[in-house]
Amino acid sequence: MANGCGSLNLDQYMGKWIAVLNGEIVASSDKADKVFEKVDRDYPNTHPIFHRVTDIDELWAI
Amino acid sequence: MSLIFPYFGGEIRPFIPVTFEYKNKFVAITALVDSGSDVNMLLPVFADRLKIPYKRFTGSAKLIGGIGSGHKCVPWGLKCIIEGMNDEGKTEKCEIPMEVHIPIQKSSGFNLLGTQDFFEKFSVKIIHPQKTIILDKL
Repeated sequence: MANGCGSLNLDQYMGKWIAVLNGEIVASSDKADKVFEKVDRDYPNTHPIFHRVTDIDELWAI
Repeated sequence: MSLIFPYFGGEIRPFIPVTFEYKNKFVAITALVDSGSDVNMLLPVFADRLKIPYKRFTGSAKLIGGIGSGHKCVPWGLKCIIEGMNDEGKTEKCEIPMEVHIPIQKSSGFNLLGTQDFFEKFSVKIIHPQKTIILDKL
């Protein structure tokens, strides 16, 4: 299950999708589907946390 | 018992990790804790990964407003699992039924935890300068 990840170096992943397993980024891509493919191929039967990293140039007022 | 979360990955926004279950399939994602959202939102890429047949939903899709013209969304009931560290440093898990709204068209926004089912069931404290979220189940 999902465990909290308090600190990762996300600078190089801004705007990208990432998969985090045991506190490590194990896949990244501009497309979520590519991240799913890599996780399913290289880390089967695990539940990494999928996250889209905030692009700090993209501000929101939700 | 409080569950304490740092903003996921040290992000600039209050994202927490949650897991959704549908028919014994699980997906762990991050969701933005958003008191301004009336509903919970699950991006379609994750609904597809859980093999939720939302595209075959026979009811009427709801228009959920937001930035821009809003999204037509399908409501779906899922099990939401929230796991975090309690104030004694031990891992603790909460499972709650949750209605999520799935945009029918591709959406590039965020998964959202809003007032329905989330803020209704948890007291939520966001300490933004410390990038910390504290949840207490009500």
